[in-house]
Amino acid sequence: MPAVRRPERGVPPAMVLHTSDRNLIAAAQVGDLLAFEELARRHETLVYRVALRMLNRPADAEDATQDVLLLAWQALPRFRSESSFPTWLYRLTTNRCLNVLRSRHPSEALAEELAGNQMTDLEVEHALRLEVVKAAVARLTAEQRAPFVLREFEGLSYAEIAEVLETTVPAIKSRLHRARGELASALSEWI
Amino acid sequence: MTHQVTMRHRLECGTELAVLVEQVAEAGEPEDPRHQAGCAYCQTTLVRLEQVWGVVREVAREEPAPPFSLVETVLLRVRRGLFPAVSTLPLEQVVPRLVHALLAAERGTTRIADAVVADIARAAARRVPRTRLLGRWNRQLARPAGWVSGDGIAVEVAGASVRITLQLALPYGASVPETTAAMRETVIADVEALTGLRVTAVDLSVDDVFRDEGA
Repeated sequence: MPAVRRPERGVPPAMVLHTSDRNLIAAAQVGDLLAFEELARRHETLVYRVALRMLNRPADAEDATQDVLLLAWQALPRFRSESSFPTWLYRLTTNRCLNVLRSRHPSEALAEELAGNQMTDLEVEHALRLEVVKAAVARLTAEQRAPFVLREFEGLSYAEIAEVLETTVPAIKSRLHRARGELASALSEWI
Repeated sequence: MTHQVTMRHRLECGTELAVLVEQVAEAGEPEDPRHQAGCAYCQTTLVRLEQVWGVVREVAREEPAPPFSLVETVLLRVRRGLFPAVSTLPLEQVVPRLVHALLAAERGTTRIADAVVADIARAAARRVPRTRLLGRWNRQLARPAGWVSGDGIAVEVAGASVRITLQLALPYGASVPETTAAMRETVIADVEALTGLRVTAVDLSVDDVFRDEGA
């Protein structure tokens, strides 16, 4: 966290730091940029982590994180606390990433595949294994990848994942089942 | 495709591989504990799957940190109004924000940014005597969807229609109905004449009074 915080309007930074998400959301909803700044700092790691796991490229994850936070700022006035704030952010993030994946050129997907296979050249076996898992996740279909990332890496419940992805628990279970199967057979050759 | 065949695959003892994958992934109880405890096929596969999922869990424990200045960049983009392009927005129902009004012409279309409409409306509002536009959006009021600038003006465009909201201060003693009628008339006339858009409404919010020294 940077040492210098620019006060924007009204609320002194020291007060903001001890304020609940709920209060920050209420202030940001009526245009308080300082409150939004604090919210963004609290949750940027969550957004970036999911984006990185979904997209498997740091530069793309950074772009997606920026876009998600901007989107959050724009959409905040319409945020109702029917879902929790993190659930809402998970939804914005997975939607954004699914869009990025959809717009990726097929040849890029191929390049990703090749990148995955070149990992054998890495010297550190431990790092290699982690990279192999990430590459294997990146090769899941977009539909399978989202529930997989939310369950295995983020630890959300089936019900939460269904809420984030706006579908039913049985649908999530079956997508997750297929994703795990894909991953298990892809990885058993490597690990 | 071959993976799916693999997943439907049963071990030589008859156990479905997929069942074991779920058991390991969810750290759940075996479906048939007695069989599993004594079955070499199941045990070998479980050990292999545990190794695989061990690495998955290691990835889960990683805490990748976003670049240091990411939030600063986001705030800069907020201040400059640099938002993601509408065409690539995920879930447009989440953010139904139109940034351009659209006018169909005989050969092509004309797009007018909401910020341009706001500038015209602002200039018109300033011409109305004995009124002031608030210098910043009143935080007691919800920021409307079309809020495009720092001051007390919001513009929502949809196709060739535009709706404008202004926050005003009036001099003490001024008639609110008369002043707001003049304001409404001036803003509608200017915006419609200069842009060709249709102003469906001008919503005025009188939020402050001031002492008019000239009166």
